[in-house]
Amino acid sequence: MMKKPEVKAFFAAVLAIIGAANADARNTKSTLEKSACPTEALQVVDAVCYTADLPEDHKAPDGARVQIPVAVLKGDNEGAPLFYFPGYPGESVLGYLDDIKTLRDGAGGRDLVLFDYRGSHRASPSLDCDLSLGRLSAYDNIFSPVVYDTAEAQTRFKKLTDYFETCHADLKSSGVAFEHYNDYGVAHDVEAIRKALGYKKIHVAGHSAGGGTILTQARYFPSSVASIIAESPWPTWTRNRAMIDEFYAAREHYLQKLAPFVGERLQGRIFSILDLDKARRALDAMPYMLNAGEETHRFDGAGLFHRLYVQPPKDYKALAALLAAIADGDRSGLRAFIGEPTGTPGAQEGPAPYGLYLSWICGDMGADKLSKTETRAMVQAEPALLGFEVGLACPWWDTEGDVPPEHNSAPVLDIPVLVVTGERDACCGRRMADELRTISPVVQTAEIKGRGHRVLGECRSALVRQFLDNPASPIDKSCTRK
Amino acid sequence: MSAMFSRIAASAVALTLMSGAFLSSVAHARPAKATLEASVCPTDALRALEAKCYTADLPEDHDAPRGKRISVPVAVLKGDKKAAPLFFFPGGPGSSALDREERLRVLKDGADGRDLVVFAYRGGRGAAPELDCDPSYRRLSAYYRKFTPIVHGPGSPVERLAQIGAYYEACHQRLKEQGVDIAQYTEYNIAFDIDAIRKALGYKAIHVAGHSAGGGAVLTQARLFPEAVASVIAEAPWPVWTRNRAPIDELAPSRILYTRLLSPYIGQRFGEHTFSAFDLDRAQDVLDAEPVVLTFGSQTIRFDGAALMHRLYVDLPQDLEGLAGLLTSVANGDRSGLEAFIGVPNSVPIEQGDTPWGLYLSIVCGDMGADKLTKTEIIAMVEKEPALLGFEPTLACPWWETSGDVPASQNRPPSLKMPVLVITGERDTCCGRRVADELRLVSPSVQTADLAGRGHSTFGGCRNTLVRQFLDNPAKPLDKSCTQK
Repeated sequence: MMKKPEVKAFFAAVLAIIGAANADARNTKSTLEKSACPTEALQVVDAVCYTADLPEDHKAPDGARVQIPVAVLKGDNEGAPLFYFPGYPGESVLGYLDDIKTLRDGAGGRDLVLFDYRGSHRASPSLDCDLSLGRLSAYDNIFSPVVYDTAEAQTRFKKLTDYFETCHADLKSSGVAFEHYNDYGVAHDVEAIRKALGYKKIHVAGHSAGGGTILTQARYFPSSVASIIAESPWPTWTRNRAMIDEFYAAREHYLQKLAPFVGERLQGRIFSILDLDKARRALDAMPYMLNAGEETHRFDGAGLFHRLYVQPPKDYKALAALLAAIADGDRSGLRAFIGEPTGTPGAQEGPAPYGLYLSWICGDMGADKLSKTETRAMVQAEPALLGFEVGLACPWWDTEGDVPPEHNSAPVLDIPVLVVTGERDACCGRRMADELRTISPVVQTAEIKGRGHRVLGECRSALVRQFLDNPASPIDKSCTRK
Repeated sequence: MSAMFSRIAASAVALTLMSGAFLSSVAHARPAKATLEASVCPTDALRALEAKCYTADLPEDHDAPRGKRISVPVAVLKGDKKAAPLFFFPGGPGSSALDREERLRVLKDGADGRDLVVFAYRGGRGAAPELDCDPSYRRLSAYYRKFTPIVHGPGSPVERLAQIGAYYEACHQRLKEQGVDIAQYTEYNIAFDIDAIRKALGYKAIHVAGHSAGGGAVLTQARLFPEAVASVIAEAPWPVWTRNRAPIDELAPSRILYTRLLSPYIGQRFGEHTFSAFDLDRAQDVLDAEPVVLTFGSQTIRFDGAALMHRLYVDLPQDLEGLAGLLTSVANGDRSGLEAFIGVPNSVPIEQGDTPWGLYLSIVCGDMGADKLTKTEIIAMVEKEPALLGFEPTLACPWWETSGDVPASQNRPPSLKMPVLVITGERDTCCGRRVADELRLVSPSVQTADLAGRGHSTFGGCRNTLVRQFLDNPAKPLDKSCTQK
């Protein structure tokens, strides 16, 4: 657990509070205190650091408070600043020097504003829960027992749902009002910080779940947002659909990537697009058993889809050959594809405190959740959902987030949008660009060749700089093809 | 792009052009040879438009040029522009535009002074042979009949699948008994016909446009004969490489489209209920648990979750807000709006239409080649998702015994170098912009235009505006402003 920064100096920038046109009457007020920068990375880049003091519930400004670190990397460009929202949801960029430098490069001389989210590791409070989610999560553990145990699907699912219930009970006993730790609460924090820093308008950029949060930001505070840069976005209205639909969207991505090899002879077999399905069924009928120490991992069809989702193949031709072989009963290449278990990973810290992570992904659903019965039926119909997104277990998170009913609709905006995606991203690639294409009259998209979910880099910076210079003008995307 | 071309003499009566062996680097070494004979135009529409009509004589099997011959009608609507002509490929697959005057006038307008070439496909209406089967298919097809028994019962999903499978088997048997070489009636073989007709008409390069399955056929044409195709206009394309995937995977993108189109209404109040992202799923579940049963004369129909998916696929309501309201009501147990939504039976006359069903199935199933799912696999899929019965005719192809004479690469998306324009409808449940996106993965020179508010039919003024611009300069970025209107 990282320590919170020691507050050294006081810097007040409390501005008049005027509710934004589309936000509700919440009191978005922040007190900013200048502080020592909480990470070495921020010190190296000479950031000006603050601690923002905010109401836990923006409707109750006299109630409990939360504190989060904020850092401004001053630029020499007089234009509106760029606020960057990391993903997961709940992770932080403040400790990563290389990423910060790349983000500053992309800001093109504008002020770059970085911050940690409410409830995150350096915030107060930090919404911690037991670290065993690091072992259960199909994202964090490539041999997650929820996917690879030999027990039947509902028993494995129960490991996850038990965790959700325990974490929920722990947070509840801590007294945190965790219904406010979600996109909606964060958007009000950022709006308050914007005002406290004295910026009239801001550009917002965000990655993955952060690429969704910036859309929430623009939905509730449209007059404060100059432009939107959604990078591999994972917006609420897609992640809070029935997960079976999202799972099939990922399958469509694999089929698209495999399609160029249809009919090709690969290692003695002609690849068919039906081999993805056939390999899956072959593995379901006879799973591949892998012994590692005292544990036995069962790699079935769900395991195959889990691997494709969390470790997008770099070489789809090799994958096509593997699928054709499995469909044909030849499993010789499977062991290398599955990889060697590195022993049972112990409890491990996640990119965000797990309590925040679950409060956020489940809280954004508000009252609009599937029931436990509906979710169990979905897992029964498609066990591969166990290796998909952790939010599957949200019906076991007993608290509804404090969000308006329309929180999970696609927003209607009149703000220029740039969507940057990675060619190999199964979650949040070009289909998300499609989802966003109609939310605003000006939406530009750019897909970076060879990149997966992570798009940070020179090309992304080149695109962002151009876009920030003139968000309404078509950008030169030539770097995306290199 | 200025294409070199030549045209046949206007007075040609019986023109035979025996083109030299044209070895495309992409098509295999089949000799694409056609004999064209001027003929009386076969339809009133073509006569009204003063088309020049021909009968093209072609080998049934392009690998066996001395074998059995077939013929197809071809019509040229002459233009005054000295530029490469536009060949139009209708959908179906296997349908014909030759008798639709209105359609032909719109196409001619889009061709903007170029020669417009229209034709029937091999096995199609006006061709010899015509691959007809029992016309009762219209009463089974989920496309034509609102309350087809395949979707609305009676019987279990697998029994209903067997019913459609039996039709495929009977139709296949009928063609076989007629001596038709069924394996040759595919999109792949049609491409060889068209290239032969192109040569016989003396065109060096052609523009190709096609709708739906025809939008897929133009992509195959361009893949196999890249040197003869100047540009490609694929309208609401239904290409082989997507339609020949596992049906369960193809159903999913349509569901995702519904959720996307409905997503602006999430959180909106409809009476006592608030529309949820899950209401589509829930309404399906509620109807599966307790279907609506209605009687129309002697027909009793069951409207369950599969029927709901069928209806959205073939007839997505224009009023999406109204649909959101209905789904949230149904999900919450209020069925008062359902009967109006379900409607009454449509009239489905049993007659031969412009698509001979034998050809339709030959193409739909034949282009899969040997790459089909088994009957067992399809049965398992239907048991898991009965909504597939109201989806696409590819489902029952394991019951079509013949594998088309196509190479395994037929089901691969084409990597095209020539300019391509893909026109889609924003609300097309089958063939919208996801297909354009897929094509762009392998063909970088693709421009796309998505028509606001339109479904699978993209025909009309905006389509023509786009087509005319594109034909004038296919490499130039289009002004797409009409798509937003």
